[in-house]
Amino acid sequence: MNNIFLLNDYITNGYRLEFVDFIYIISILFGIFTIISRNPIVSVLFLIGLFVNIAGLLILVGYDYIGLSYILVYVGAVSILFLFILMLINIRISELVSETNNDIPLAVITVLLFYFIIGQVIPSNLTDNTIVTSLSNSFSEVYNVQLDNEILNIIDLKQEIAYASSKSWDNSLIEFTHITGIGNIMYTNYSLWLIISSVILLVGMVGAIVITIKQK
Amino acid sequence: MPQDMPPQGGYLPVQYKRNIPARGFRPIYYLIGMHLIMGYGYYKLFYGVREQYELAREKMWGRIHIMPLLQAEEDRDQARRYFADKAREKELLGTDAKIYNSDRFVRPTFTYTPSKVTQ
Amino acid sequence: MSNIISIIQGLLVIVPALISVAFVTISERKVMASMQRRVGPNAVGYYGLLQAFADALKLLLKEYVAPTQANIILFFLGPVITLIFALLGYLVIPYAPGTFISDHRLGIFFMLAVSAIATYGILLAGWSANSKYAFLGSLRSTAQLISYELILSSVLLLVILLTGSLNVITIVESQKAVSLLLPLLPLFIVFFIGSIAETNRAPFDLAEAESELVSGFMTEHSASIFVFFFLAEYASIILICILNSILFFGGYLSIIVFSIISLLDLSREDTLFHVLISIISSSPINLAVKTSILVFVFIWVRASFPRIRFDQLMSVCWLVLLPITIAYVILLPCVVSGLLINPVNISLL
Repeated sequence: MNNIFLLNDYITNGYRLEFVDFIYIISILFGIFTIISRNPIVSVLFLIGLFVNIAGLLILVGYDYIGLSYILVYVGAVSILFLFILMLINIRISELVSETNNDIPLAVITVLLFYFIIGQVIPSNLTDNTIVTSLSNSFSEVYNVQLDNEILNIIDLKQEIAYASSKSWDNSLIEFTHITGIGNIMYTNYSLWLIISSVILLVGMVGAIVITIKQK
Repeated sequence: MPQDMPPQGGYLPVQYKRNIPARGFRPIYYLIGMHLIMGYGYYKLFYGVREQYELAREKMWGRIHIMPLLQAEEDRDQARRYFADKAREKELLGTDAKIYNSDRFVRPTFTYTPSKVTQ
Repeated sequence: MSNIISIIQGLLVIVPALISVAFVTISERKVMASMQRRVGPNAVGYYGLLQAFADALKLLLKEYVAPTQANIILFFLGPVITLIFALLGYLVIPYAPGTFISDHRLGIFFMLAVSAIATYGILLAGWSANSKYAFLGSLRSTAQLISYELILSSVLLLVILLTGSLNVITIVESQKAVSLLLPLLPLFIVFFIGSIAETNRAPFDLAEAESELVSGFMTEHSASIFVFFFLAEYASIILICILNSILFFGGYLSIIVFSIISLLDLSREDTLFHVLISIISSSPINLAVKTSILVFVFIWVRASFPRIRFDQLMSVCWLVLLPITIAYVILLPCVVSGLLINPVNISLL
């Protein structure tokens, strides 16, 4: 339990839970705009906005390496090529041709199906107002006030309950960054999958070259 | 009115390339020189990284040596809270209550603190 | 209170950055004038020192015109995105020991991500203006930026290999032994060429080739939104010069003074002179001098070389610079591993 609280405060970085809800709402809106906008460029721009939003969410909850990689890979490389190709299309014509209203029922059905299946599996009361959630909320408030204080500042605590200080100091000897952790796992336990995925990438690259090569 | 046309057979080729004599050494010498400089850089870097290792080792051992002290203080604090909790429990219930069905020491997760603390 | 302080901190970095942009433009005009045996701007202020401010004031007071068929939102959003993300890169720069806004452990990565987003400003501005010139300019510019970004990030990979961290301050501090210019000499040249191309400067300024495309992606932009583009361009020039000096010249450390200290063994004594020397050895003046020299080289290159063709630009990137970089990306890890000089890769708290 102790570890849950530490982790919670670590991943929220002292931010409030409402920020995450805010980002969720914006990204859902962006996702909807991505499918209903008629202009393909505007649609891709909303998709990019969605990527940036999700990257912001990841950075907010503490996965800053993954978040920045999202921006670098998806926004900086993949979507810019999308946009690049789309800009060369004559927009006027494609705007007349495209009929995006058909997609909305499809999207609704997909989302409902997804949640029907997922809702069976995942417990719904994961973030209900259990004691853990309210406690961790109060702890984040405390951390808002005194970010640098490792042990709780008892004065600002509203409840009469605090976490028993049972910090284990040998955990704080060194700190592994996310990159170190990912690298360690990727090159040791999952090295086989790394090789397989790189072979898939190589095949994809060779395939693209074969398609574009001139037949003589 | 006659139009201005190029002369018969087109214009003469324009000489845009300058024929200036090659200056300096041959490229291979620049390449060798560059790699010699790089070699010197790695020579310096070797000792720099060795020093880094030494500093990191020192910092690490410093921490390893101070850790028992910090852990002891932490444990002392926890023991104080644990016994205070026990005493409070006894005062409320009149008897020593066992929460778990075992005699093993279970590290308490929560502790009660008074709502108003003066500091 | 802490919000106000952080706003003031941001202003303390951004306002000097914008003022230095003004002086870089004036210095560019004066230096190029001297190289071409002209006088250059000399009317406003002493020796034309305030010319940039007069120009900015003129541009801000002008009426702005937007084309009727333009996508107005994107038309104004493009310059704003470009300027904001050009200035965001200053967030992770250490100016002196302890003088920075953010000591993020992924500082270099953050700069890469921010510069990747800044590309969108150019793309959007060019497309939304609904003009062939602006559109072609933005396509050229974007193709150039994403090609040369590849080179810059591959070189950064090697810098990270030798320093063992993505944190900018760690990269600077690990150059106390030797500035990374020496072990990475060919890659510095590649990086510098890449950074000239990345900022759309001559001889790689195909995006705004006046003889072909009127003024590139900002043909239709006028008045204050043009100022945004202008500021963003020069801010990114200064930023990339700072990045060059941080990665290869030791940032705020003065390598020369450090080598003098280690040669004469001065660090053990405590007289005023020695304290002074140790202050000089890591002061923001060092970063300023290095960056100014690099900005001068940018201007020098612009005055010296003719513009190259677009196919030459791309073949230089993909067929010359990238193979060299990849060759060193394969060679240098072998050297590092062979000499057993992997940097310390556990980040001590």
